[in-house]
Amino acid sequence: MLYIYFNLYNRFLIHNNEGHGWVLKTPFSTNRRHISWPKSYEEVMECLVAKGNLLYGHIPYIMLQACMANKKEYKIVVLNKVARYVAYNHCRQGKAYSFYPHEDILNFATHAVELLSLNCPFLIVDCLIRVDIFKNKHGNYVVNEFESLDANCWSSRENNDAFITARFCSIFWRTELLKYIEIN
Amino acid sequence: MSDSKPNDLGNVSKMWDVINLRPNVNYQGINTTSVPLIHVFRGGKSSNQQEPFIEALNIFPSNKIIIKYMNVTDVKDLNWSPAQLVEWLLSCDVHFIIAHVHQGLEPLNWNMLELQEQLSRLFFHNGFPNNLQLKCPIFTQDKYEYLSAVKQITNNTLKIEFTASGSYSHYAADIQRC
Repeated sequence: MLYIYFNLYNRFLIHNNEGHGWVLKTPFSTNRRHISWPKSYEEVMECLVAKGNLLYGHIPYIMLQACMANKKEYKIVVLNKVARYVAYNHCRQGKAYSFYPHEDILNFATHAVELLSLNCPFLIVDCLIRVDIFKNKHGNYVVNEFESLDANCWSSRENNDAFITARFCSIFWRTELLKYIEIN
Repeated sequence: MSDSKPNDLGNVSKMWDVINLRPNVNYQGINTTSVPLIHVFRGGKSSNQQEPFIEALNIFPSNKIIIKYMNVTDVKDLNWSPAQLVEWLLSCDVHFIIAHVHQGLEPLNWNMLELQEQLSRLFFHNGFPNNLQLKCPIFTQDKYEYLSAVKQITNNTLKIEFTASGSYSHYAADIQRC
C-alpha cells in the first residue's frame, strides 16, 4: 500500500480523480492532436510509453490531467485583458453551467488573464486571448487552455461580437505595422 | 586519388538553399530596395488572423510596401526546417507571424525546442513577434508553462518529460506538477 502511495503517478491519480478517467495531452499542438483518454493507471502507463516512442525528439514533454466529469467547455474571448463574450463551441458534450449574460464566467476569464500576465512577464496581453474553461466536480471553474492567434472566436449569438473581435485584431495588426513602417 | 582541386566545394552538400538577406530585385515593377519588404507566415489556408491582417494593410498604398506570404502548405512542399523558415522571416525588413507556428506542420516532424531556438533569432529583427514576445507561452503554446502560471485556477497537471530510454520512473525528478 505504501508503495502504491509513493508511486508518483498513482498518488496523482488518487488525489485528482474526477471519476471519468484521464487525459494525456501534448503541448505545442492544437486541434486535439495526440490526445488520448486512458481509463486506468495501467492504461496511463501504456499510453505514456506509446506516446514517448512516437514523440520523443519532437516535443519535450506530455501532460496528464483528470478527464472532467462535465465535458462542457466554455471558450471566452478576451480582448486587451477584458473578457467580452462566450465564443461558439461546436462540441455539444456536457451539461450547461453558465447562461447569458455569463457574468461569472466572464469575470473568471478576466481574472485568469490577469493572473497569467502577473506571473508571465513576457505575455502578449494587448492582443486577442481565448480562455477555455471547464467546471470541475467541486463546482469550481478551471482553466483548460489559452489560445490566441489561431483561436476561433465565432459568436453563438446573433450580434456583432465576432465583428468587434475582427475589428480589434485589425487595429492590433495596424498598430504593429505602424511601429515599423511609415505610411508616407 | 581524387581529381578535385584544393578548395573545390563541389562535394560539399548544401544544407539548404541560400536565401539572400535583402534581394535587390524588381518585384512587380517596384524596386524592393526603396520599399519595405514584409514577410508574413500566415499558418493554414483558413488562418483566423489573415482577414484582420489584410484589412490592417489597407492603410498603406499598394506601391509603398511589398508583402510576401508563406503558409503551411508552402513550408511542407518545400520541406523546410525551422532554420529555413526563420531565415526566410529574417530576409525582409519586417516579419509577421500571424498563426501558431507549429500548427499544421506536424508532418514535418519538427523538434519544438529547435523551433523555439530558431525563432529566438528574430529577437532583434523588426516585426511581430520579436524581442521578449517570442517567449510568450501562449504564442509558443507551451501549455505547461502557462498552466503553471495560473496553477491556483487550473486542473492539477502532471508534466512528464519524454526520455530516450522510453522508461518513466515513478519517482523521477523531471516530473513536475501544478
